[in-house]
Amino acid sequence: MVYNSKMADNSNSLQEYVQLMTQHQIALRTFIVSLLPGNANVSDVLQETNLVLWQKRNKFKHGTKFLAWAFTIARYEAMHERDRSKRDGRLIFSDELVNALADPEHESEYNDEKNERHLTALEHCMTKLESDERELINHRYTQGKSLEKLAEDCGKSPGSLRVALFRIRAALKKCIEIQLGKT
Amino acid sequence: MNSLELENIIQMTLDGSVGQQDFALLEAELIANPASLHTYRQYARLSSSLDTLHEAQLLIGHSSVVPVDKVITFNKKRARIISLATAAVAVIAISIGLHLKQAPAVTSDEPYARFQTSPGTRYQFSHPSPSIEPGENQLTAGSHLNITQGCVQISLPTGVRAIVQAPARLTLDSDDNLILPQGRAWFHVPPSGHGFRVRTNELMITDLGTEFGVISHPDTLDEVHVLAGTVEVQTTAGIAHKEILTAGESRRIYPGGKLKTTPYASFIQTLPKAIPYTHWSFDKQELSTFPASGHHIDLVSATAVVANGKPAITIPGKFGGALRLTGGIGEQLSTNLQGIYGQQARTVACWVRIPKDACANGTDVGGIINWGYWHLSQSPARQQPLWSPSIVYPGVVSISGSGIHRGNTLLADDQWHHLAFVLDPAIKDKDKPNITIYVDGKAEKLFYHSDHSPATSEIPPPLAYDVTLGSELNAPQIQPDTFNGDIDELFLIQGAIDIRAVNHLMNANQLDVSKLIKTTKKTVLSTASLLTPVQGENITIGNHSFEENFRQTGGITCPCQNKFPQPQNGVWWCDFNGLEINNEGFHIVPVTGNTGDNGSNALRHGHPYQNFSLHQTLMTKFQENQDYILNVDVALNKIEGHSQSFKLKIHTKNGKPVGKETKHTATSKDFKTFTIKLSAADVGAAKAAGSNIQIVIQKTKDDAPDCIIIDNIRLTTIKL
Repeated sequence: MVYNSKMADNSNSLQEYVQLMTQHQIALRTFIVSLLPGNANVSDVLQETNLVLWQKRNKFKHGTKFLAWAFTIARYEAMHERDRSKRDGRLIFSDELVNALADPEHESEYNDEKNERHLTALEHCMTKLESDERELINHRYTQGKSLEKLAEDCGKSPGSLRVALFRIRAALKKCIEIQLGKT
Repeated sequence: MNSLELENIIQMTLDGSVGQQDFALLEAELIANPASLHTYRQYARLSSSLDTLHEAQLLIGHSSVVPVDKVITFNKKRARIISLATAAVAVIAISIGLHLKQAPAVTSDEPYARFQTSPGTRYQFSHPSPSIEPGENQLTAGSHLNITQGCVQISLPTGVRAIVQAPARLTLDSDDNLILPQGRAWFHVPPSGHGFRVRTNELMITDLGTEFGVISHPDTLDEVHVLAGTVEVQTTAGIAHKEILTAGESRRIYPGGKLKTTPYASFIQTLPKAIPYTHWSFDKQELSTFPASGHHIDLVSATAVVANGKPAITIPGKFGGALRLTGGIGEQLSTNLQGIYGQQARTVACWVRIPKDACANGTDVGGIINWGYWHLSQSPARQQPLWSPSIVYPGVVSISGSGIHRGNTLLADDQWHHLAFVLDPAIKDKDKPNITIYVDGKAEKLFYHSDHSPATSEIPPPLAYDVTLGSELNAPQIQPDTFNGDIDELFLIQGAIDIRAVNHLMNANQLDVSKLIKTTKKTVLSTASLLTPVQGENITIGNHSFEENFRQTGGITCPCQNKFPQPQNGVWWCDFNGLEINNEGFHIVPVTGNTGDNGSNALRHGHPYQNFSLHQTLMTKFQENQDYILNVDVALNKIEGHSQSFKLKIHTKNGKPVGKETKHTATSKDFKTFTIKLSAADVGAAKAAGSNIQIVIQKTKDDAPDCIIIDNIRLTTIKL
């Protein structure tokens, strides 16, 4: 069944479409992060993706994989941002690597249930951190500070903070793997 | 590239701090090695999840919920989901906009719905445009209604009828679509209204021919209860779920979007004739229980049961029988009634009779009614989110919570007195508390701690305790201190009442606010304020009313450390042989569970071999026509079986005594209140000397080598 404009007017269909978009926000963000590592405009790209998803809602074929549809659009938007980054002289992934990262075979890794479980595991693993480690993570992510700025604020060298952050994130990754293995 | 190198470069790349050479190495590795690509994806997901998690925490930080660990744990999954939803907020907004466009053709100035209010209801409404002026008490598409107190009945042209209880916010989207971000509402939908839809922040409920109730609140889990017929419920937060519910079924949405059965909840189905209230008359006792009356949806839950299971003492009261409490363990009465939370308006009114000697030993009389969540925070904000009307030493009314408000009429005189404690959030003046306490029908002059935010009980069920009568809320596992006096005709009212209603209640023992209603016809953002708040004159002495709450600034264990423990109101200093020493002789110690202690910390005074006196300048402007009393709670720190004598003195800064010093002895680990009086004449003398006034606490004998601890120093006024 094709989602035509007349049907799109149907409020139930609209609601379902909004639901799908809402559900897959984590997956979309993760996908965009992977294509644009270290890029500060990830949230903007996500928002642009959402806007296009909405504008193209009538072209979505109901019953097909929403995530594949959404990733196609997200990739397109990420490539726009990549072009901008290239013009600014920033480091960007090659087309070959982007293609590998966007391989549809890996879309199943992004399903909603996995994302939810991943978040739950992360929350659990955060509680295992020492308070100063948790504080460092919170500073880094809550306030969106760069390592250099964070180091300046803390009166420590960026190198020592970087080492600490790397160690903590590696521990979190391992802890999450263990948690997901349990479930 | 080994795995450690790989992970380091991946992290640097995701942080945006990688160099060109490492970046090229990583790209080659990811293209060549699927395992490395997998590792990269894992780190990308971790980075994304950490961003998502912290966005959710930011949302929690902006919510009105008190940031207690348990509450954060309770709510964070919801907030996380909300956070995800906000990412698509623009889209949803477009969606709602389309709904409006596609609504049945109704001209914007066509009256859409009518509403009526119960007596004492407070509400604001707004319409989509100043040019739209529907008739009196009418709503049109796009109208918003904000109900802060009472109940509203809404009747739609389709025949749908709703009763919405405060606190509530709603938007009439169209004649078959109502948005309810907050409120407890009952809906009756006749066949002509089938398809009627209610949306909360988390649920979408579509009528399939029915009668149903909805509970919606930003800080709790939304619920739907089907009373008759059938509804379709669909989650709009988390993973989408949809269910068809029939009569008798109910669901609550849980984090993640799952719908689970929830216990039955009752809903008001006809417009009440009064503000919702509960009344315990104490006229009739059956099997150690007292029934409740009033206008409340759940009077059964309001039945008060004696906690220790024994019959309560009843005596002749102001109207019929009254409850006598003697401060005995377990005399308090428990109910299953939920309290009134957040900044919702409320009134507690009752008669009390306090024995003359109730405060003779410096003790408090006790709490009249309480509910909420016990939390003794060690943070500087010192939040205690509860609302507990009580009578404290020397026999004055008090509300304790995030702030402390005290009256000055002495009530321990064996006479009946009528009290009313009113919280009115409509009072927005930052210089006035939104609490008024009436004693015998007159607004009491309030002494309040201006450093604190207004007292509230912000943490709602399920963490909060239900309503208890005759005690203060105490820490879990600690037997609460019971009231020591008689209580009669206790009213708990879900709204603020004014002085006329207080007096009517006092004289007629009936709540009647109907004659106070003023109809206000407004259009855009109008307020129909039905009650006239009357405030007591608050005594704010200079910049600070004085009540000392000691707090710890971190790691204070040694009296000689440079880090100085900061009391709430200023700096204490020691006097040792005429030398002022700022950081020796005393320090902050944690104290919990001691009688008289209202905080987690107290000031420890003294060193085994030192005989310092403690001083603090009171940054106050004393009035010369006013007497003052200074109450200090003191206990021995550690040594049982010893005693420690000390003096309370008031000095001018140059050491001249003001008034008479008083001598005391601390003999127990339990706090006792010691008092010194400062008369108007003393104030005049001090002023004449041109000096600020100092409070001085001085050990007079090293009886107990491990000193005394001091807590809750209060300066209050007494009537001349």
